[in-house]
Amino acid sequence: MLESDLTQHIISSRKLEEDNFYYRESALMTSTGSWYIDFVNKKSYWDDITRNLLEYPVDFVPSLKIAMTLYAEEHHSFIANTFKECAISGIPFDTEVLMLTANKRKFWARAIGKPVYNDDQKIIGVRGIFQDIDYIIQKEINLEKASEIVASQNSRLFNFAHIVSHNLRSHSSNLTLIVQLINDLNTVEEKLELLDNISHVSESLNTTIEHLNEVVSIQTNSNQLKVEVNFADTLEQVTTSINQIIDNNNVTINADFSKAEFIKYIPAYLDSIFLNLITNAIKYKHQDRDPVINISASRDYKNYDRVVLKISDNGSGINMKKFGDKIFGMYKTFHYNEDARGIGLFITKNQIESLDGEIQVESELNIGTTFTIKF
Amino acid sequence: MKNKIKLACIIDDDKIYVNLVKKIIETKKLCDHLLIFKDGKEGIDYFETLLQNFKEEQIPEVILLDLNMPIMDGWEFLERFTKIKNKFNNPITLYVVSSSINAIDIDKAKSLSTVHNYLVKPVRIDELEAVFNKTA
Repeated sequence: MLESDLTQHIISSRKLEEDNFYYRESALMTSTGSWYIDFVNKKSYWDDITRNLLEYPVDFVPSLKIAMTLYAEEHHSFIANTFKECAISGIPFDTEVLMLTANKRKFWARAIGKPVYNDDQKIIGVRGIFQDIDYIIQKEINLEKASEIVASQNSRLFNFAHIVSHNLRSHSSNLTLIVQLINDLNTVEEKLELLDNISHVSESLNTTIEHLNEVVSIQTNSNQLKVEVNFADTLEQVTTSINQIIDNNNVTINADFSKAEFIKYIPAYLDSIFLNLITNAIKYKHQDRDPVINISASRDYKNYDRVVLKISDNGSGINMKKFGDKIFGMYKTFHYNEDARGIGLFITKNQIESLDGEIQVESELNIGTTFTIKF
Repeated sequence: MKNKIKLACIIDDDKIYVNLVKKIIETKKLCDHLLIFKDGKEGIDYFETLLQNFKEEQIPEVILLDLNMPIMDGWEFLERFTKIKNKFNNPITLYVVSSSINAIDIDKAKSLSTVHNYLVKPVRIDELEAVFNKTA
């Protein structure tokens, strides 16, 4: 070898070493591992960082067979599709996916892959990287949660402001009308007649303010101590307290709490939820039949920690098309019942939501209504 | 001399408000008779039944309609009333009278051809007088 060639060789091998060092450093610092799937030899290759990311030993030899075990089950079909599209149609991908380490630890990764072609432009493999982005995604998730909480608080606040302005407005405008009339009327007798109206306004005003207070106290009480509450005991308590109404209306209550007997909750709220939904079912019973109320508790199939309570009745039902969005509104009543106050379901919804739960309703006219609460 | 309105109609669930308006109408002698319905359903039932066989004196010349009501709100009343209002020979002037100061409500109501105008509660006595005199 000529001297100049030798020098050239030394320089390029030094350059290669240097490059290698930088690539390795940046891969380590960004937790990025490389891999290659070879379709021709049906083999896959990982670099050390990939092994490290996935918590496999340094001498581990990957194979195509274990490919699926690298991903969390909920992402299996997604990742299978992504790889298929890349392998068959040559569509490169850059995506976020939940991966599973050898120790079965889940973490979020960015997966980038692109097809490798031979000289005949046939796809002979897929090459790419995995990058550990778990801390970024966790931050994102926390941020999303925080923003959801803020949004829901904001919407409740907005709702409350609307209620305050609307419900207080109707009283204040009646007072204004009375004052106008008093000024306008000539005789003292006529003026005195209006006193009666003033007392009506003041009564309704007080009731409205009491209701608003109730709502405010729900928001401030939501950090009250949660304790283990037994569904059956709560139901027993509530039905005893409205014993007479139940007897008078021939109400049958069927309860099944075998799948979830207890819940950590504010006891007074659970009482109030049961009381409101049961009395509601009785109040709006079907005129041709005795009320039957079925109550059951179960666990959410996706999230085992979440208890789901269903309360359904065979009552007169609600026209969901007309009233669906108003059922839980304040002072919304849909029936001719004289004792409908339009406050019960509003309070119930507020109590449930203040503890991060949800309530939904399904109903059909003349068939009945089902309330589903996710605690 | 102007013709005085013979029959007017209030559709509103606020009893106190209805009483007060009634009182104003009586004191000011704004019309001879007053129909009162406590929600949109009662109101539309009256008009739909009337359609089958009516006498002129049963058709109100003015309707004061609230928006927020139980059972059937003002919007649904408007929807159904618009379909039949032209079948009565006489024009019926409809005012929405609501405590809603929501611009969306106001714009929506004013955009409807059935709605002559939108009055925000509390109505003033002179406003009411104007309604009845203009229509008469």
